[in-house]
Amino acid sequence: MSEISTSPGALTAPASPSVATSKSAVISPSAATIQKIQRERKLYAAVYAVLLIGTVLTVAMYYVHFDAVWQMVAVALLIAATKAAFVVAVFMHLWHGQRDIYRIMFFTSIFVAALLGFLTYSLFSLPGSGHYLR
Amino acid sequence: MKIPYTTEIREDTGLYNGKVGMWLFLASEVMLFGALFSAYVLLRIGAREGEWPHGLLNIPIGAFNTLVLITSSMTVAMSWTALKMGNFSLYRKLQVVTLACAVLFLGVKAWEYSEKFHHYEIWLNEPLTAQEYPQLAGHSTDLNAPITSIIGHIDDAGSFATLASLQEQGKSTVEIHPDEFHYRLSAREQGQRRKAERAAGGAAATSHAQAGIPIDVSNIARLSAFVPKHSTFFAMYFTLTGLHALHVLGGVLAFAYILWPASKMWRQDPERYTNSIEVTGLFWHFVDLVWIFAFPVLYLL
Repeated sequence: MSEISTSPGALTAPASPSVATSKSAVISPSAATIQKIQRERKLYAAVYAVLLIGTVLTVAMYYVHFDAVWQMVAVALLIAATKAAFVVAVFMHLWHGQRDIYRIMFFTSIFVAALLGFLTYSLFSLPGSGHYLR
Repeated sequence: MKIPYTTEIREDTGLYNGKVGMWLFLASEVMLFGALFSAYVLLRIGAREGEWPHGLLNIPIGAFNTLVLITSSMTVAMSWTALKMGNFSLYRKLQVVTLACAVLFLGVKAWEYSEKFHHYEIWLNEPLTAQEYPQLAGHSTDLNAPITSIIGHIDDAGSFATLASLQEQGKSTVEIHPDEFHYRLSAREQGQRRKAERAAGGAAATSHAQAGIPIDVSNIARLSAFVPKHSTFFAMYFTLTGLHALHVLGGVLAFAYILWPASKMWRQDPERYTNSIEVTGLFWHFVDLVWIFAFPVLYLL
């Protein structure tokens, strides 16, 4: 069930030319919804802060000396994956347990993992490849 | 005709239909970009030593565009909460910011592309050394090492010039101004160089375009602007960022349509309107995600 309650007058409200400009009253959220949305907003602001910090770290990483390139690649991808996880979980609402989407994305991730996995595996049989990561 | 499940939850999926549809579409998008990213990984790691161009992209600009895009993602998420609260005017303000960010992103990208199009690399038949031409110092740390390719600006070449087009114009020499500062040195080396120049009294710090070196056209083995055919790297860069920019453009069109022409739906069916922003937002966050990976992978690694 949706939590939004639409007021019964919504459908019969006279259309005015300033529909888009007037502050509409057609959605009147319940107290519970208001509380939930306010929590959600705080969460979005926190995720935004995480994303900003992640971007700063990504750029800062470039000025840090790593002993091997694979370490830099690992750190860069770790930061990117962390940012991505926050975006998917919070901005894209996957945090709120959406079982069927998990199923869709689970199958997709199997294919992506296979794609990346087989390609990476094939590198070991290419002559001279992989020096970049050493 | 009434379209079913635009707002009410379907029992078997537990979601309204638009959301299921968008996630299925995003799954196909993951495969599309996944293929391109894994192709990049294979080519990058499989490249032989010294064959992958380094430091050819502008990192501060790429970082700036990252900030612009994550800001727009945040405003989209917030604008959905505004609709949930029934506050259309707050939603509209936030979406205007989103659209401004998206257009800014595309503008910066376009500027970045045009910068690339008039930078050149010349591969030489007869190598030069930094001993002969001090302005090539940034191309090689060893003064006597042979320099087989030069990066910089070419006088009167415009964009997209090729060796064939220079020969057609009947040119016998071209003058290249080496600009290794932006394109041969890593960001770390650029920082060190800037610091050293400032310490040295630093008038040089503002100008990195060097005095021209005349090159005989007969000595040019190959010449290319920074376009896809320059190298595998640029081919991947333009394919990935170009496809991503098209997605940004698609998001702009969708958000602008929902914000202006379609906004009367807010009066007729506000829940459905709110859902359309949630679903388009899902697409937008995905576009943001692609950039979160594309920026470090293309610009930094």
